[in-house]
Amino acid sequence: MKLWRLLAKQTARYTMGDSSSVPVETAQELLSSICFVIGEAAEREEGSLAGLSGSDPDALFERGQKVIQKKITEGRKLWTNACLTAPEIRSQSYRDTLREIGTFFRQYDFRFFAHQIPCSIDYQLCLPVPENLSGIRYVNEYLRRILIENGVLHCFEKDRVIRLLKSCCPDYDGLLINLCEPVITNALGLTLLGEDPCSLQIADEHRETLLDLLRPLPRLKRKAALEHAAEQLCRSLQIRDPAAKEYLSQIADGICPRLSSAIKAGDLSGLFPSLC
Amino acid sequence: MENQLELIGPQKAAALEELHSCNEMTAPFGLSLSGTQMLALVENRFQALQNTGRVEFGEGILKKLIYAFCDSPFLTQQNYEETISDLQDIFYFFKNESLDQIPDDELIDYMKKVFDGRAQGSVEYLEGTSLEELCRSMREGYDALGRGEDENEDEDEDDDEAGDLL
Repeated sequence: MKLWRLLAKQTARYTMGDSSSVPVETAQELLSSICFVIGEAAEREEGSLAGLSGSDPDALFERGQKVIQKKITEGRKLWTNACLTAPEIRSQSYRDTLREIGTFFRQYDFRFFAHQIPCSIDYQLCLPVPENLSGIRYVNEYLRRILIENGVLHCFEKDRVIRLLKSCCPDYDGLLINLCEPVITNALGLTLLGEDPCSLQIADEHRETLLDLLRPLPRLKRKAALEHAAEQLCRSLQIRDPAAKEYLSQIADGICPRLSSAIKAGDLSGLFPSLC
Repeated sequence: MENQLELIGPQKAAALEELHSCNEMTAPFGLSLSGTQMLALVENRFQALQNTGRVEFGEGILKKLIYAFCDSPFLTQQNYEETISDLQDIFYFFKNESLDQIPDDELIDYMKKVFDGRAQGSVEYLEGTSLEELCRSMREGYDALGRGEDENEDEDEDDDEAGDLL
């Protein structure tokens, strides 16, 4: 009932008193937004939603809106940094997505539709943001990941990155491919071989050696080898940020299934291509 | 289901109380609603909302409709309940058709003007012609009510910020 009264108040605010009724879909969106905002307050106060059942929803809602306003400020900074650290590599989807996120901050209506993401986010990350995040939480998490990927890309020479991207996909500029994933994959492969990861060059003999190295290993040992390679790669690239290290570790984990398939086929050229 | 009943019960009670107070106001015009008629109108409100896919939290639109139409020359004690019920139905319908761009008060004003004017008391005429035309104009972006508001379209700022930074 308390939530219903809050929804009634929000609806009255939304219509500015001009309308006594709204479409059901609008009411549903307003309710979703209320739940999102209250969730933000709950998380900040380290309580579960169940534990807040005795609390005043209006007060929670107000506190949640303040939390969201702070996250918007944080998000703007993240976006600015993402734009400033964008790699000098052509990618239509990357640039379009950053522009779209810029418009998000103009269009985001945290008062009534805080759970929505009013922009198109097309550029694919190495590790997608979990779907259960919404609103400003989703956008901020997306930007944090973009910043990590930008940082990784800056560790490598631009020309080598471009040559690698071209060998993976000649039209890397126009298609929705991630710029960082092929770079990290090859860098991990070279780290496993004890070679310089910054070269990004994996030749036939490297792939033969990798096959000989990894084929005998059971799945869990391959996984461990990749995780260890991720740690070593972070040291080589002087990546100290814990979030970035964890990100690379998860990417390494994600490579395992593709690696297993490639080893079964006896051909690692799809996973570890040579520079063109 | 129980939660819905819990929510609707108080709303119905509040709506009935409002209609009771309307009788005092409409008495000079020779109009009044019996208890059964009030109940029927209130039930019809929720049915109309359900039919049009709308939700209403506070007081409904009945009181405003009655206040607006009670002095109509085409409203009599014989057709009072039925006319108000029909007006309520088409009101919610045309709120949807106008994409919620017309405030309640303006829509009721328009309905009253046409009902007493061109429609000559015909709800069918009101529904089938004038309101249809009004809502079509609204959807096409015309100022059909002659409010004379400036339509300041949001300028497409073309992401100047992003352009500078990228």
